[in-house]
Amino acid sequence: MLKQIKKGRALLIVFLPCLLVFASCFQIVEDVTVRKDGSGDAVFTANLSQSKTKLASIMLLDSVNGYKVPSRADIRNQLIKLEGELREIEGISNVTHSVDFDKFIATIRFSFTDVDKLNRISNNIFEEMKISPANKSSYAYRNDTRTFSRIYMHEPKAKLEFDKMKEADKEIFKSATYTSIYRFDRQVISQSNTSAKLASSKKAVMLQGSVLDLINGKNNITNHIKLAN
Amino acid sequence: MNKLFITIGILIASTANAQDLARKIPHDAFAVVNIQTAHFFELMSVDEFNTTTVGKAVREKANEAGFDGVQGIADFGIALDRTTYFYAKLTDSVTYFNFLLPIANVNNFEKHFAKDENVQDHGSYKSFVKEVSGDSAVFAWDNSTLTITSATLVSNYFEQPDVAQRYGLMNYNYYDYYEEAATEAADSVYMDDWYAEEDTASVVDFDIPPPVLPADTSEWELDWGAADTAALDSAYDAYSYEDYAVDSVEDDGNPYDSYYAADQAVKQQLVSEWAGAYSSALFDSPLAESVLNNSSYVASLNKDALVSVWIPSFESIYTALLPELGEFRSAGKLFSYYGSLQVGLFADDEGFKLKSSMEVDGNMAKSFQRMYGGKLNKKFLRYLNTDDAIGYFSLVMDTKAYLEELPALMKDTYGGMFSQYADDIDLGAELLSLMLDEEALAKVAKGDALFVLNGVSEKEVPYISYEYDDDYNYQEVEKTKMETIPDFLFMFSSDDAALYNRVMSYVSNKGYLLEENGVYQLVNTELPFDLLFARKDGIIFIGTSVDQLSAIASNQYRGKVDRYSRKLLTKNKFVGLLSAKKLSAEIPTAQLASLDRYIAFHKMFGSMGDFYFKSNGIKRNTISGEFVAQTPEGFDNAIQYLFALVDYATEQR
Repeated sequence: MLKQIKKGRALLIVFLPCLLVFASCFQIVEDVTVRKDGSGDAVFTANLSQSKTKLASIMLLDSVNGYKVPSRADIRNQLIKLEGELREIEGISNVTHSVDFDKFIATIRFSFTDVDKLNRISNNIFEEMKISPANKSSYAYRNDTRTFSRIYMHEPKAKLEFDKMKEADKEIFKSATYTSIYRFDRQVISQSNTSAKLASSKKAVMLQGSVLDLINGKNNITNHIKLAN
Repeated sequence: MNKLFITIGILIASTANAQDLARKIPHDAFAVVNIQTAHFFELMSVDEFNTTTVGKAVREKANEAGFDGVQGIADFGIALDRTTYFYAKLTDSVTYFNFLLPIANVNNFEKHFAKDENVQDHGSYKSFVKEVSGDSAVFAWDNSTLTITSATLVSNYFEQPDVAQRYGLMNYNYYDYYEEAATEAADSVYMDDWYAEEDTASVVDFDIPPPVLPADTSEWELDWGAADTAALDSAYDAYSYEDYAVDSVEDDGNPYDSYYAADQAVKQQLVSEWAGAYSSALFDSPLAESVLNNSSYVASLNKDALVSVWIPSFESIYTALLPELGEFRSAGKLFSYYGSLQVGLFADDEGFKLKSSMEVDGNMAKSFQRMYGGKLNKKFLRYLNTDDAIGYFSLVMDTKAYLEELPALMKDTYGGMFSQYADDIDLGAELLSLMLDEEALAKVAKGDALFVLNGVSEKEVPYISYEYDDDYNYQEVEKTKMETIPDFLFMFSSDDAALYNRVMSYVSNKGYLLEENGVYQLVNTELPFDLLFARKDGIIFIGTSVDQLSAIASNQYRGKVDRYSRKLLTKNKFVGLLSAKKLSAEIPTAQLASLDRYIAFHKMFGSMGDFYFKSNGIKRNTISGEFVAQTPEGFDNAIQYLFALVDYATEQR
């Protein structure tokens, strides 16, 4: 799961200082398309528009609650840097990003040659966030068995870190939501996570939940998806 | 005849003060705090106190600590009907901190506090030494007084080479060893010298001279005789460097730890001896001149204060606590403008009051009187409705006088602080004065202003979310949510109508403002609230309510000011008032989602009185201010209310 959050947090890294000042909520959307050969496209979106009035006011200040408030230029530069880092990774291409300061929505998109590259990105993000990649959360795809697995292990360390946060800062996560969507070019025969929903075309799986539940380990987003031939 | 009156006067004064522990406080104490327990227990009886949560907690803690027979606060032996004092006394080498508490029943006191201690009987008083929060403190008492004394050494003093040598301190720097090691490679003789020196140090006599106490030692009638020194000599035998050199030398041979420990031992010994000697003097060496002879202190006393603090000189706070600052001051003018500082905490039927006042010197007083010489524009009151307003804040200054006084103030304050730049600052100040057209600026903003917080309201604001189709393709959709925004009105006097009109039409032409019936509204803004501007009666208004601004511009607005607020605003230079009760009613329920929080919030704040602060600026040479937390109805006084609040909060836990 954490990987789920953290992957979304690739974008959040740059917004986090803004978030940690009473912004009320945010949404993370992970949208991954996997083709038969294991290649695919990914889109990660951080949508902070529900907090935009607060963010707009906060960004007029230098710092709030002891957190430095990044300027728009800071945020743009961070995203440019992140995009550059992704480009460096072999097997990652078509990296683009967008940031809309009217709506407070940031998006990063890229293509990958194989699902395993997603794990590589996760690890990079972990390193950037100074979190040791002890958890076993990962993506896996095997064409021979026609399975796509999203494995999530709850990381107690994340909960510990979360518990250390100030109450006011914790509030931010209380109404935060994540959405993950996995799309395939074949139909899904079965999936292991009962909370996940299957699209009418049977080619996409969606799982939604609260970020807080993920941090606390109350929700598990592990899902083994079996695909048709 | 006159002499007779004076003698009678002195007799009366000394009788009145005979029981007052203040006579033990030196006239040049750095800070004196009076804790008037008697007044506290007038506001809340001892019996009442014992039934409060705090009173019960005191009793429980006492029982846990093994105090027998403690039924209430009065059973500790401390007199509750007399004043307790705390003061600090600075010398060049040591700072003493002292509590002076009146004793009502010495047997009770000894029974509870001295029973497990190593009590020494000095004849006129008894004492023991006890660790309190990591520092050792000397508890000394006779039948009527308990003193608690602790001492802190002034580290700069002990870093001086001659002083260090006198006390046998090494002041060894951790890095010295490595620097020496490097030098030693070139010159091995050095280390031999070093060890020779160390040997000398270990046999240095511990001749302990008295700290520089009062400037005039006769005042203390204190004999820092040979007996004390002899005692210290023998005590010092226990602290030879050799004792420390064996175990704690680091693997790499750096002797820092052992030298440090030895220095600390010497210092602790000094602290302990000096605190003991000071404590002894409090009982055995009456002061020739106590703080009661200090007119500034006596003037600061107020029988109605629960706690009062007197600091004889504002500057001394800085020189005592930030001695480094002294290096910046050449002329010594930085804080010399400020005299004594007095703070008093009062609790009466109106509420808790924190009153403070500070003396300033004549020139500064004149500057301040000019700067804060204006009055609040009475027309402001037409636009205030105290029935509805949650709070307001006002300020009265004279812009012209302020701008005229500013360069001189800058020059004196900063020129003194950074003497090397005195000329630059002087020139800067002159240039500033030349560039500013004080008159014209004062026309734009005369210097008085009023900010009114009319309320907080909820406003629907849009945000982006997503809608998913059957295949989980999604698109952005606009949704709305409610947000809390402030509703305020700010006004200031301005005589320059021409400039206002020019600015407004310029900004309107640029497309940032829309004008309607004399009200300009900011457009294309990311602010969560509307922002509007209007000008009427020589006042510029900035507010968030279209209705209010339109009403003002069209002369339709009718304010309403209660007598209390009118007096507060017109008689003071600075005023701020906040009604917790009105604010609690305004906070949208969505912000207090859970019922528990909702109830607790309204119970705590819904019954609270107003908070306000006021300052009537400078009167003669004294600047004063007051912060008041009003007692709500249903409570006799602020103390009763405070304890009721504590009781309530405890019940909720």
